[in-house]
Amino acid sequence: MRYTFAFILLTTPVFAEDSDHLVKIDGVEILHAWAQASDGPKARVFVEIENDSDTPIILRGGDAPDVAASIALMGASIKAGGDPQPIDEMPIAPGSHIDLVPDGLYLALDGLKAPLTKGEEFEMHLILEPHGEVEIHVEIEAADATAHSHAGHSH
Amino acid sequence: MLSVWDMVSATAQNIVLLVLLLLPGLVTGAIVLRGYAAGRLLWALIWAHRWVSLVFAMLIAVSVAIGTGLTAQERGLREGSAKAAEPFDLIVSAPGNEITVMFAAVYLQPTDMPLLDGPTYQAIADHPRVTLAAPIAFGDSYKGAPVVGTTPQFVTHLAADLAAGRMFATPEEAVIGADVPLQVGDDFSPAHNIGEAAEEGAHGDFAYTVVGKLPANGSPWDKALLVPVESVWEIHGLANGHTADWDGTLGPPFDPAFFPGTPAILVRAEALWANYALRSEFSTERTMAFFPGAVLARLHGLMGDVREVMSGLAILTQVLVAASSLAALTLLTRLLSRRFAVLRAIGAPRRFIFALTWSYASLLIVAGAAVGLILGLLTSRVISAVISARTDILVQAGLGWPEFHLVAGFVSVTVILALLPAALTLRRPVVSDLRS
Repeated sequence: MRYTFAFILLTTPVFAEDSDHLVKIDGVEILHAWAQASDGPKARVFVEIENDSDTPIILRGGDAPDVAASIALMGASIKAGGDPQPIDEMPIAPGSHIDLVPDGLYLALDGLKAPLTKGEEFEMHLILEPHGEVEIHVEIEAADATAHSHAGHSH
Repeated sequence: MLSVWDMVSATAQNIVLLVLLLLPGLVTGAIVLRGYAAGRLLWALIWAHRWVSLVFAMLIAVSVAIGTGLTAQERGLREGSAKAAEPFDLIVSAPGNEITVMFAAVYLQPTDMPLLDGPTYQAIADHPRVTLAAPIAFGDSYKGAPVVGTTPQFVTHLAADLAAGRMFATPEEAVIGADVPLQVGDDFSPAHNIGEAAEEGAHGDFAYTVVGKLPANGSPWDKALLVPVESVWEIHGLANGHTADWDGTLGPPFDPAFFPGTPAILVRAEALWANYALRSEFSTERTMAFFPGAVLARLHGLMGDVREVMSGLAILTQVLVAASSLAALTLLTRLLSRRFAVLRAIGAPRRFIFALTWSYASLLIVAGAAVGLILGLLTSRVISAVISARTDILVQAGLGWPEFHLVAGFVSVTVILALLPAALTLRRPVVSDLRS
């Protein structure tokens, strides 16, 4: 199977996971990762990251060789009519949070190995310094969804 | 194949699309006219029926003008509104409706908004990633134009160099937009509120002196009067944002305890990523942070949907007008039937008559489409001038590739439809037409 669809809980020992929607690692909470359904070569992944640790963290992108050829951190243009811009790194200071959302920052998946269908799930890694590759569980919402179906839940 | 297409420049893609849209019409023409030079006879035919031909061509021109004018107008409005919003990266306000706040803070459309307090402003201004945090305090006016309280840093952000004069340096000085009918050295007294609710004299004898003028930037700020936010607070009987030992230097730092409040704050960061971080950070229960550009893009998306519908209706109108014209042309060919019968009698091949009739119809279509493009441009320019005058947003509508594609597609479809009246001509009985 070319996809690694996840229906199991993550077991990596470096972090504890409260639910499919939430990953905790050394005071960093990664919540509600979701993607818009896509039957083309591209898709976008969104997630909420809260840094309650004492050290800054840096989001650099993602990785999911079974799902897409590449995953890059991109920023939707803040000007009307502008093109999305690649973002090399997104520092998240202690005590602050960043939401990856459709009209802001997002993870751009390019070269999808198979269509992303609403209701299905997959796993991918966030490249999050200094924690390295952090596995997250991504739920696929509708192609025109603007938020995770559990957005607003604190878990 | 798609990746190759993506690698080609936008101009090359547009040219290829134009050629592809014209191709069916051109191929039809090449096949129909192959081996014939019907030019002189065609011209004679048109001249003989010049008024009818003119009416047909103008009908087509008007329908094309409606279609191209609408799309050009929509694009002009989209580009104009985007340009006007360019200096506004991130706006922070009290929670509410992003569109309402954007219209108030960016396009200076009057609205009542709750104020952000001193500690909130301080938290934003002190953020390490923020390079500019400018209060935008609106509510007063002068002869219907908004008087906006802000800082010298914001004025410099709008225009690094003033068109005339200098920056305001005392609370009684002002810098005005390019279209304000005042000059450097003039005085004006602000009215409390704006529009019909404006109260002249509410601020007593207080008057500003114009010391500088901004260059035009095609936005509602061209009609705005920018004044120190300290004076806006003071003339409303509030603290001026500074402690009692203030040295008189306008702008930040403000003291949170003496900061009366501002409806909106323009926030700017140098790094692109920092803008996203700031938006996340200032999107709280007490503050709303948004990119006006992103809100505008959503509105443009909506306009795009409307444009699609309008374009569809415009194409339908064009095809209906063209079909009506071709139907009328079929009737006209009955009037020409005796001439065609004579041509047939003196040996003209049936295909020549077919080619002549088709050329006649196609020439009217092409001429009508060309005139329609020009009419569309003129119409959209007139409408642009009206919109600019009413909204203060500089709208410049011009013909672009979408209009050329629209017309190319229209011409191709209708010249193929013109095969029908040409074919009907051939079915007419020569002998009875000669006798008629």
